[in-house]
Amino acid sequence: MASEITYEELATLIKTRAGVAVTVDELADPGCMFLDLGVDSLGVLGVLADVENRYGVSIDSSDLLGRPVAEFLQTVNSSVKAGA
Amino acid sequence: MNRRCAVITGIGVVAPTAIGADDYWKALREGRSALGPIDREGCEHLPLRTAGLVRGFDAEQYVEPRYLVQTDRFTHFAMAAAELAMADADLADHPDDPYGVAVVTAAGSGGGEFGQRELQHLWAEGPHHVGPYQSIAWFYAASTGQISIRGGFKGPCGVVASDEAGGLDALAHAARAVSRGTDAVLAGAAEAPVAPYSMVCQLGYPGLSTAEDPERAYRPFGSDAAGFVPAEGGAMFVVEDEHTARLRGARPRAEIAGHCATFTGAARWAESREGLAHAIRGALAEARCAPDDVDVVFADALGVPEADRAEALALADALGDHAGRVPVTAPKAGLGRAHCGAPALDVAAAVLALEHGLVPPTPHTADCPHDLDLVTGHPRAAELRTALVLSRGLMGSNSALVLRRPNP
Repeated sequence: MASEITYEELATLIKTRAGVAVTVDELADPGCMFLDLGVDSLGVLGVLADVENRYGVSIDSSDLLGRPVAEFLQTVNSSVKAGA
Repeated sequence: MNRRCAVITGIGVVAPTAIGADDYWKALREGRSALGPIDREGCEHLPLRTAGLVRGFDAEQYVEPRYLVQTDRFTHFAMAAAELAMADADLADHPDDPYGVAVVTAAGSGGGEFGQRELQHLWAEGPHHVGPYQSIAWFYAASTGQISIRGGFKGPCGVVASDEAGGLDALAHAARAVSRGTDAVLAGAAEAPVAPYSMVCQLGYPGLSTAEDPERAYRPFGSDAAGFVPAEGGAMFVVEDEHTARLRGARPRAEIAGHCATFTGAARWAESREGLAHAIRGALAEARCAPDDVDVVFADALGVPEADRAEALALADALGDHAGRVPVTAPKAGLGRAHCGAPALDVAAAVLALEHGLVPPTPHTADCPHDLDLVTGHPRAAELRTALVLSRGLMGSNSALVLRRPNP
């Protein structure tokens, strides 16, 4: 059964899909946006698709760049929980 | 004297024999060959056995991971070569005037390895498993785009899609951008066509050598010439306005003096004689260079007997008696043909030859039945001021570029 995605897992995903090394602290900062990390829109799409494929969920992808990373992770995890 | 003159101030090489211009020259001088068996996964069962592979290339040494995940191996080569060329020319990225620096590359093969991987995801797992970077990575324009984005170069960028000869045309394009007012252009070509999908695309070429023995697979101009082998790699250059370059303290290494391109149809080698001769005459005219003033020729050297004959005759048509006297060489016999990257590697070889006063030999070929003074075996010392570089594409493009040693 799929469990919640942690900041560590998200950091690994960003590294593999977008080639950007980020720390857990950076991601957990409530104001942190993908663009601040140097992840471009295609990189975000890659991360999103990977999450969706892995956890069998569908995430609203609108305004992903305009929302903090922490909020994105929250959305993902509530979908994962709802689907579980 | 305010005519702008395009000069090469930096050379970046990623070749099967070496990475970096210094090691590349050392290998050229020794007539070293990098041709070997294709031992890549997924290629073992294909009838194409020999190629010039770039080994020991660590992309991360030159390019940040965020660019590497977005790009194919051909762009890794181009970005690394661009980085080396910029270091050589001491040209910085993110210049004060971003519009003063441009990027022009040529490509024929595109991102075959990346594209194949994503298409395999498509058919095995479905469209949702295709990564978004597929949209840009396999596109032949990817290298120009990524070099431009990474360096912050917003000048008149371009991609030349004119067959293998595009590697020379890209330099001419750069020279023209310089003459119109752009200060510097990163120009050249690199390819990575030795992966299963890209290799299958090439199997239909009639001139492709399927020989097992790397010693015999590619012997251009030889009496036993049996076709050509592919290669990966290429070269990038910093092309600048001479005056601007000297002002900032850069050293002009060669002048791009003349260029001309023609088209004579796919695999019509007999016709390429006339097309190539016309290109040579045009390039010499633009360079205001008499045929007798050509000191060395870097030949296209396809290794297909009919094409080799056509090239020898084209030289005779354009240079007259001088064609039999001028040293002719084809270092790519030891590299293989990296499509658009091949003539770019020849330009790098030509600039280095002009600087060292030494004509590197043609590896593998032992005898030459054509009326040419083909340099084989050992390098030949010569007073070199003007080099002629030739290239033909399998689809019918012919191109000639004249390089000249700059005034001190």
